[in-house]
Amino acid sequence: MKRVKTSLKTKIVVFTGSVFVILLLLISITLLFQWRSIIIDKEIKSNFAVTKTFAVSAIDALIYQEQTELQKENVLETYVDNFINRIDNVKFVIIYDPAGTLILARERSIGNNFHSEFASATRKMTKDEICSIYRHNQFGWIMEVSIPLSIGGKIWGFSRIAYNVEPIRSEIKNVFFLLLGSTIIITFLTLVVLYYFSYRLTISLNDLVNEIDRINLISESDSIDSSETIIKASSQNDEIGFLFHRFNKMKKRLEKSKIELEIAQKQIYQAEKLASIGRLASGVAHQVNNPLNGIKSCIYAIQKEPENLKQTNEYLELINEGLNNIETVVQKLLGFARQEHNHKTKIDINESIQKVINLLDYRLKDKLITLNLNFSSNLPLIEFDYFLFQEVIMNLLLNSFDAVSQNGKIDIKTEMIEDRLLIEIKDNGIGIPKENLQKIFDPFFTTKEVGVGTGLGLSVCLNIIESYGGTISVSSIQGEETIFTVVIPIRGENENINN
Amino acid sequence: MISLITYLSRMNRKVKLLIFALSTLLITVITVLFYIRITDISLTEINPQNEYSYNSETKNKKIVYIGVISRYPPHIIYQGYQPLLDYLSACTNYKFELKLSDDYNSAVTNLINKEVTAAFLGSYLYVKANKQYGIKPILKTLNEKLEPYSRVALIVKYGSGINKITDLKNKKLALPSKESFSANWILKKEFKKYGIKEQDIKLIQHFPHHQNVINQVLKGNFDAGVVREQLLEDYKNNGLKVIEYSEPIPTPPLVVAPQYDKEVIQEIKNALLEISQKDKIKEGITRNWDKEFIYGFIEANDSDYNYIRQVYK
Repeated sequence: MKRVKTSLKTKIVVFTGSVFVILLLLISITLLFQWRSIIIDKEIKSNFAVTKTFAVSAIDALIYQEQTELQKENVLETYVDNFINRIDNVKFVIIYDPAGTLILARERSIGNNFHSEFASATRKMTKDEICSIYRHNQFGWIMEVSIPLSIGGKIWGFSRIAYNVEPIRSEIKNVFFLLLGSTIIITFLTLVVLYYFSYRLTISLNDLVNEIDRINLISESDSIDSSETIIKASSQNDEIGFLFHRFNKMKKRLEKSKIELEIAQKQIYQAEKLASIGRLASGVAHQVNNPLNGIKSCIYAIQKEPENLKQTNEYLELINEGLNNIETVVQKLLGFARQEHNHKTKIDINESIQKVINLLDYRLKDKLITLNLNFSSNLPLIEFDYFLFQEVIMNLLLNSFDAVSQNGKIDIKTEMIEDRLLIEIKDNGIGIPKENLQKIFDPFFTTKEVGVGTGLGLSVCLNIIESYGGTISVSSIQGEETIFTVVIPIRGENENINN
Repeated sequence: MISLITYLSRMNRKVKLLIFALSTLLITVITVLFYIRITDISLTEINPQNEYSYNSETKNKKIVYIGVISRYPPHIIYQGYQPLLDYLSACTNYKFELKLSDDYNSAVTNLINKEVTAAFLGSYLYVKANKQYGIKPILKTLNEKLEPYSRVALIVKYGSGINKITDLKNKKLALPSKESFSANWILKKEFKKYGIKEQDIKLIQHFPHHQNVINQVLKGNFDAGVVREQLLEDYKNNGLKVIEYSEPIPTPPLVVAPQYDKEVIQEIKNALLEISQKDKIKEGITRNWDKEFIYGFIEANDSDYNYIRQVYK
């Protein structure tokens, strides 16, 4: 059996697996970005809320300082210090006046130059709320929220507050690894499940294929118990089970067709045989007629001189010989016409051909045909139906006899080539036109007059030889010669002809 | 895809292994790059301020200060009054700024001392200041019915068991400034009406702002309080109940000193009187203003406050 290179299982696993993994990846990536966006948005909103709450109190402090004309830092500083101490994730707070001049700067970590770094810094005032996330050299990942300290058109300044966002980055990392892990695990599990199901599917199909391989369309004689040949149906109540069921039905139909075909073939063989007998009839009549004339002459002579005992005895022997000849001819004819098939026996090819030649002896003499026999002496016996083989040779020789003219020549050769047996029948007849060479084995193809040939002879020959694993080929040069070559395998196919 | 699988399956083992190794390497590189991308959270987001703004250049305008009594905490006064001043700055040739006062009386003092050109006073304080300094009302606010009246309310917490003024005996009462109409309404009019003396109340305490009064009642520190009705809208779902309203009284006036800058005041009047037109309100100009100013203004006369004079004589 030809081995499958890309199994259905591989295709299912790879294709479905790939599609699933791609979809899973797309979903995971979308989910990850969505999740990331939610985490960041939530943090932005939270930090904006804290900053705005801070701004309310910062504005109050600034208003209070404005009213009481105290130094601004006194109230603000206290408030900002408390703010930083209470809100854990605040990294620094900077407040500017409306002109962008620094009023106050505080950071969580003590002992660096942060304050001096910003002390002289000015920043352009903006009335918009700005949130930016970036990596700071000193504080790492921070979210800086900048909002104006204003109510309506009254502006007291603006604040910048930095929040630590390393935790949300860690959260995003965790989500990433969670989704990555989930994707890998789900992919693995999916591939395992896919493999399992495709294995289940393909093992059923393999069972079906194996059963198909084992199918032997039985012949009529073997079809006593057809239940043995029914494929063991799959127990699955699905498409595979249905396929098994339908296949069994198809197999039964095939078996029935095969039997009907065999019957039809036998009928064709018999019809062709009878046709061959018809073609033999004139010769047979001649063979019977000649002894009969001799017998009649002998009887006439005996009746004319009944007292001549010597002559009577001599003529009685001749009559007996003539009757024996007639009996022989009739026996040969009956033997050929008998309907017996499929009786494989070990046959000697040379002997079988010789018997057919004997049957056609009168035709040779009639046309003064020279017959050259070149039989190989070391041919093995082959398993073949004796009568079918004779039918093949008979058909081929009759065609040759028809093709050659008076004083024609027919060469018959048998030989072994490796493990094949070759029979070659060559005549120097009219030959076959090139355009007909392809058609001569077609059923009902004939170039003879209506009623003379059935057009089935060569078709039947080909059918018989092919059923034994052999071949028939023809080559012809029009007006010069025609060669039919029959090749029959000795071992292998010949031994398993029923297959 | 199927053709690709078939094609790949026909390759020899070494090529398959090479393709597998390269694919694995590619996936690893993509995963690492993706990890770097996903953990790079840097961004900049700008939220433009959508508050109603007046596109007017005010840098070179003369600054005019407007006073206001300290009936609310400073940031609440700014939230409610600053948009109104921004509007005035945009509509007039002056830039207006708020001048807060430490208490009710200093708002009057600032006006007399000409530290402010005009001031938003309470009705009761106006009657008192008019008598004392001859200050004049120029405008008063309108309510949602576009009438120049408002009310004060006596509030308690739900479930306090106080359902009428007489239930206040032996209870604690929170009130705004002594100079407010709210405080004088309950102490001088309602107590008199129901025969209650201040001694009958367990504790009466005045707070600087109306919000303080509401918070004290909500916290349970005081059993009842008196505040301006319009403030209650913000607290109506917080478990407060009104057990008594005052009669309608003239809304608080915008006042000026006896000698005032007529040009400035005229511009203020012109700008604020426009507000009461419905189309202006619909435009959302007053959306962020103090609730008292949302429906605009109407001209005020001293005689409008005679009712208060009579009641609290």
